[in-house]
Amino acid sequence: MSLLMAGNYDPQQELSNLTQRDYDRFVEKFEPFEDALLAQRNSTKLVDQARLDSQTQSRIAQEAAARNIERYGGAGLSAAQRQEQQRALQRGTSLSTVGTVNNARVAQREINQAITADLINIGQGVNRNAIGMLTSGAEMAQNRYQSYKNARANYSSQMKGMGAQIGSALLGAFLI
Amino acid sequence: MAAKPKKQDYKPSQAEITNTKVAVAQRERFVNKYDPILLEQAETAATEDLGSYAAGKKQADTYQVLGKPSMAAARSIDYAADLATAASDQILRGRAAGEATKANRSLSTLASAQGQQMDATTGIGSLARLGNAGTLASAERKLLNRQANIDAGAMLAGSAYQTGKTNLAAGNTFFGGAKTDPVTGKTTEAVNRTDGFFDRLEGGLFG
Repeated sequence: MSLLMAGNYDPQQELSNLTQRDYDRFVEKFEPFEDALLAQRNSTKLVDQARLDSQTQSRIAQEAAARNIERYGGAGLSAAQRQEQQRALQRGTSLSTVGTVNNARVAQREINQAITADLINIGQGVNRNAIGMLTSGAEMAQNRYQSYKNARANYSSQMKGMGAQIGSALLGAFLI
Repeated sequence: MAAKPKKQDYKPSQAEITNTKVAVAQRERFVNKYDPILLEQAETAATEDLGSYAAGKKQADTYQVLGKPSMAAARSIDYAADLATAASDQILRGRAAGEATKANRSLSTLASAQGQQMDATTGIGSLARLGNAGTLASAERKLLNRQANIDAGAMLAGSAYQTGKTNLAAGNTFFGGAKTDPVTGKTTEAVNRTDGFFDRLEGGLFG
């Protein structure tokens, strides 16, 4: 059994398999989710919906007011007063739509800004991690290279030393 | 001299085996129990329409307060306009809160998933460091072995050369045994091969 095994497990192999599986799983399961969130930072959903909501609420309010007036038998309103009610509703609806859309823009901007800020934080973490890994990789490659160069230099210097010893022995043999 | 290292002395301890076994089991447990929850959370965060839910609630609240039938409301000129404005405003607040909640939920789910993935890549980094340390140690061991072989060879060669030189100086051949005439180079005395190996070894060692 290999010395790298712990019982039936090879911890290095297990860790390698696990990390690869985790990364693949993230790409498969969570990347579409991540892309959707990235797209959401430019969303105009609230603004679009505010226009529709304002129109709908104007209609509902008008219907509620009409039912109210009917319930009280016209409520003693003159024709001029009823016309003024209609104009007030139209004016109110226009102002309400503009106001609601403006507020929706502000709210949308806040939400989009918050999403962007959080996404940037998450992205920074990813980037930091990637840079850290690359730095480690570069350091390891540099260490390996330096070790190789040192080993070569040691080997070369020892070979030269040995050659010098043999050479001096030969010189001794022939010159004495 | 130290004894040759034995492979069995370097076997993993029982604690190490248990540690690895438990780690693998824990990991399986996490994958089976907690990972599906995170995936479910991601799906819910992506599909659930919290904005509409909150908007509906705000609309209901508004009409409960302002939609009560009354003579004063019926006679008011701008009752309908005020009601529409209030309802639109409340609905917008509801939608905004719902969207913000949905975004927070999605972001925290993504952060968790990214965190898991980061743990995985950190694991790869550790593994690479382990592998690198192993490669360097292995290269160093190879270098030491190679150097030891060279040193041993050099020592043997030097020893043989010195012995040969001594043999030549004594009037024997380089490898000893037979004697030669230094002028003609011819053998004057044959090699005595009658001694046994140990006698010759003793002669070589102690003269």
